[in-house]
Amino acid sequence: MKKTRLFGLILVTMTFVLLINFTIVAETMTIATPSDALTLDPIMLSETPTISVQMNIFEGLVHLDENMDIQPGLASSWEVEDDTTWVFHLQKGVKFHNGDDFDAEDVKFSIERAKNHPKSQFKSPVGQVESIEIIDDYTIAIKTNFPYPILPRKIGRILICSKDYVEANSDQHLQNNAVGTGPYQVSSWEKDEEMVLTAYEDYWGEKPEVDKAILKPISNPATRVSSFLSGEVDILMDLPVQDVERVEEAKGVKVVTRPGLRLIFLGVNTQEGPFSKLKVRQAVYHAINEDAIVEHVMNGHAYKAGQFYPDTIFGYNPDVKRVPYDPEKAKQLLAEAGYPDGFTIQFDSSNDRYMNDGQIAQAVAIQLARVGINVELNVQTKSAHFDKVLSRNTDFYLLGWTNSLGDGIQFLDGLLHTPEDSYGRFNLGNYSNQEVDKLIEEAAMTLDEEKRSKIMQEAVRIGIEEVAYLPLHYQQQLYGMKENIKWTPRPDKYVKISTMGFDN
Amino acid sequence: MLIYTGKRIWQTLIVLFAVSIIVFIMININGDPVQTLLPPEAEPWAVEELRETLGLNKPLYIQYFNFIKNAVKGDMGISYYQQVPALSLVLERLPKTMELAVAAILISIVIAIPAGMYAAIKPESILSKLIMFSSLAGISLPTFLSGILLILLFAVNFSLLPSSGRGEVAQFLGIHSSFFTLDGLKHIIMPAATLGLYMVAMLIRLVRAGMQEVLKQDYILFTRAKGMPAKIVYIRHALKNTMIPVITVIGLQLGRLIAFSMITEKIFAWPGMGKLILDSINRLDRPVIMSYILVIAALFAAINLVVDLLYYYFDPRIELG
Repeated sequence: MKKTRLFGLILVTMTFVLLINFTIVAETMTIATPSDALTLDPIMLSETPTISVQMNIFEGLVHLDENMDIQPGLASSWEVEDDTTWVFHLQKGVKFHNGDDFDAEDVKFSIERAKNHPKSQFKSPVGQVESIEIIDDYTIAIKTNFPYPILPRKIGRILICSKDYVEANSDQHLQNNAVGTGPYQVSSWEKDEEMVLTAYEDYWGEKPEVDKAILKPISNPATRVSSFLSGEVDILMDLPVQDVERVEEAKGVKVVTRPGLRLIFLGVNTQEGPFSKLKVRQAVYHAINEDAIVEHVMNGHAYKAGQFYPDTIFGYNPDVKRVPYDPEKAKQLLAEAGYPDGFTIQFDSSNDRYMNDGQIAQAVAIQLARVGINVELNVQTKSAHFDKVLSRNTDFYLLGWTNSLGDGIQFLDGLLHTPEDSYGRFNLGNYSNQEVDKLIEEAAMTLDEEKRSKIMQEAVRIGIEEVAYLPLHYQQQLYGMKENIKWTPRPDKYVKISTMGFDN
Repeated sequence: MLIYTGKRIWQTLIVLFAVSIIVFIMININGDPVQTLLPPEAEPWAVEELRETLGLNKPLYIQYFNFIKNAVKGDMGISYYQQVPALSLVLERLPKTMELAVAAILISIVIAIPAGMYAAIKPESILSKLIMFSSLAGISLPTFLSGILLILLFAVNFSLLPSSGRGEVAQFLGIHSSFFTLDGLKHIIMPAATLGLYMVAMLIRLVRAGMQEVLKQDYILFTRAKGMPAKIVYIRHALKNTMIPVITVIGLQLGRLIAFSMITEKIFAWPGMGKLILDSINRLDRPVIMSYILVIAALFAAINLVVDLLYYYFDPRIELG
């Protein structure tokens, strides 16, 4: 008898505990971001903080998961019909926030708007789309100018809007009033102050755990950290490196790190001057002590890079290893190349574009001085730096690169291919190797994923062997979070609120 | 007086015109907005198309001519980043900055006048020395430091005040402002104190100096001899006569506070004009930079005009011309 009563008591308590837990589930998440979205019209601005917000309100045909792999979005599946035709099968029963039904018309309209609107900043992702054909309400065929394996990743950049809604409203109205199909809708937006997103009740997908999110743009890093430590916000984006220890020591919060996509690298003029000799390039790479840079300049918040993009990116070559730090070998290589006493070179870097870029440049200059290369540092503000470097008026420079689509072809196209036509636009040192060019062109048109990956890996191997560039490190993303928050940030820095949750 | 005002407005227009030329040239040598606007992987044809859409492919003098042609009609161009008219972006932020500047002035008046009076009346007391010492500190402490110190103290350590944002806003007599809610007041107090700190320090010194001067005058001695209570002497006779230069300075400072609130706004994430201009300069959003500077220039000209007219009102012996 006593036993049953005790059992009953336990049962009642447990029910209570469970009930309390269930009532807690309706949750608000406050997030401090470094900057506000600038527009809610998804074709107007290709900028991370803006897209990051839009990704919660709108959806594309496909989306990239936190490993940068392609997942179905508004398209439930797709197939390649012939080399240049892709057929996308659309999700049924999807409703826009204003109640409009989603169908193939909206997809066609959104892609064409991105392609043809005079102010669209998303012309490049759909540049190779030749035509779009509606097969039925939920099937659409996209034709490309030539075989184009990267199409799904590119088309995923186009966020789908309601045709009727966009046509009925002016561009100016669309800047502040978003109607998408995404898991959240905007319930209020005070620019540069706060945006409130609430879960969309009729969302077609899985209901997210967070019901309401408040995004607070706080651009001053010290204030952002303070508002986090005082408990006003739950998640802090871009925790400054120097505040990591303070946050780690604070109670009830944690620091979460994640490798970013951005590579910081050195570029050299491979056609003229001392760097035209392979041995000199190798010598310089051996002379750089990246461990020291990661530890002392980046306070440990960076990942040594041995090739052009990290392993989350398609086309990564697992067999390429980083050149070891070896100043003796560097001196020897310099002597063999005909520079036993080194040489003098100007080195261009920005000091306000990347994390600690100016200090990285200084460290490189000091390390090269140890093997006899006299570096004249030219560190300037980003606009002046980019003006100089992009006009190819440089022999030695520091730059960053992000493969935002999760596919290495962006780097290979833009930086490794000989500059011609649309290729090699950022190949500022004019690196040129016919074999590499051929591989890249082949990869750009090979639809078979495995074959394409092999081709790209080969291009990476040659590029590293010939020291076309000197990869230094990948930046680390730093977040502060309250202890009970469960969230894995993404390499591309998009904040998808629907992937957040709480530990109960 | 009407002729004088008309003449001044005409002069202001010439000044604005000159400012527009200087700013236009300056923002044109400062980097290429198309490069910052588009992602690095954008194809060259996409870059060229955007350049054409924005009219940046034309020679500089034609760009300027087009700008002036539209500016006369009140159209300062569309922001490159937020597809709305640049001028309206600036003007919708103006009241938020005004609110901060007015709060800063109120705080400084409330603190500075009694403190300055006390320091003048009892120059030898310890409190006076403390007041003068802290006013010296207030003049020399830069805004970015005092702002962060306040946040550390009141937001992080004591959790008394919110560190950023504008808080709840309510409407009163058609004005939306943080003044009308408790939450809003809590949000405005730290940024306003930071912005007003320099002014507190300066006003204390001004009031003290003025007061000391006036206290030496014969009529003050006379009122004391007559047996008038000290309180009335200080407030009714001495303070009143000290206020003339103080009011002038407050008027002129209002313009300064509005124009230079950017650091305070950035620290406290206050969504005003200053934050907008800092971001716009970083992004090379030329129409917004242009609109902001012209609005500020016009504001300064207007405040100066009002101050000059006020002089005339207070002292008709002054000649306008």
